[in-house]
Amino acid sequence: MSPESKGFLNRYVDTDGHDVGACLYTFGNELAFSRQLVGFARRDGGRLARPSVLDHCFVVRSHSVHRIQEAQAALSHRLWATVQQRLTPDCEQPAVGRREPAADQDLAEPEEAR
Amino acid sequence: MARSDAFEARESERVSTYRLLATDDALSQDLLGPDAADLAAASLAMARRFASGATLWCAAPSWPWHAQHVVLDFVHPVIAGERSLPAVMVSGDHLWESLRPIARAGDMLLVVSRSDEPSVAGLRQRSKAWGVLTVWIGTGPRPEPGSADFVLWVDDDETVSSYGGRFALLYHLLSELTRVCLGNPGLLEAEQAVCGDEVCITCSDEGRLGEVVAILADGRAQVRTPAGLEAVDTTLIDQAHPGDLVLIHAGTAVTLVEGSPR
Repeated sequence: MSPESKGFLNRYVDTDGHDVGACLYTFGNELAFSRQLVGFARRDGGRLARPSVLDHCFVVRSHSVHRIQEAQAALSHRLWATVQQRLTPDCEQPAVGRREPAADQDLAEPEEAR
Repeated sequence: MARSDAFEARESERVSTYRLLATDDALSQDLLGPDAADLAAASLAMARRFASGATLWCAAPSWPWHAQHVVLDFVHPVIAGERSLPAVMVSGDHLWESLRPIARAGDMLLVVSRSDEPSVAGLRQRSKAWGVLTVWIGTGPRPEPGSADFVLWVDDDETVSSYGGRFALLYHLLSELTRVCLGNPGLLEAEQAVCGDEVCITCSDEGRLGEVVAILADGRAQVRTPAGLEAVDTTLIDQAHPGDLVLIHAGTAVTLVEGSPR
């Protein structure tokens, strides 16, 4: 994992002392390990979407690298925002973003790998 | 040559994206805001400049990875076989000073920044004097009209814009549509300005921006403009210095542009 992506991950890891790792895949099939593994895959999800590989897998069903990158950025940002929101129990409004969650379902369907 | 299924799937997805954006006003409004038409116009203008041998300069002072991403997209396109287009990142503490010796009239500048980012103001202003086409992708309060040749704005908050893929959507589409235009040579012949009976901007010599390069002896100065180096009369200005931005009308520098850093 590059130092940049580690820095990005630090923005939303370490919830309740449990590390969450996330990997973004627009190319390739590398795998990083941590205690809760979250993956962002493309096309049909490939090996990442198989059982027992990840704890949580978000699949962007697209073949376009650009559309995959945009959707994965939106998903990871939403994940970060949601974690921020859950860490602030008094906060009722979504931390950021103007869209209703339903609008994102056209972009990608979150899938439980397990 | 047999094309792979993945290639076919990607191509059909690409075409359907453009078709959707072109035909679904609500969707393009939602995705691109009021700037959908500007995105198309910017792509055509950029394609014409690339076709004439221009270089794209990119700056994103607060988010350097966006400038790197744009450069990567133009130099190494994601679709194998697409032609590489010249794009270079501009960085550091002295943005316009570093661009000055290397930018040519006809080049392009793409800035990704907040509207209040101080370091890009000089860059946009100088680019205008040098004849460099400016495209500004940004967030925050919308800039004044005329701040750049093309303004592509994200009205979401900064984290959504920068980290949530909104900027990426804009510069991805910009590079894709630029390539679509480059693939249609008929689009690339720039419209020629025609001088008829009515006064055109070029003939009337409406105030043009220029940058003083050297002071000449007889009350004149050598000034860099989009047309090249010109000798202009500076007697209307108290004191011109190399680096000053001036407004030129009828071969005369009529005023110093206030607040222009040297």
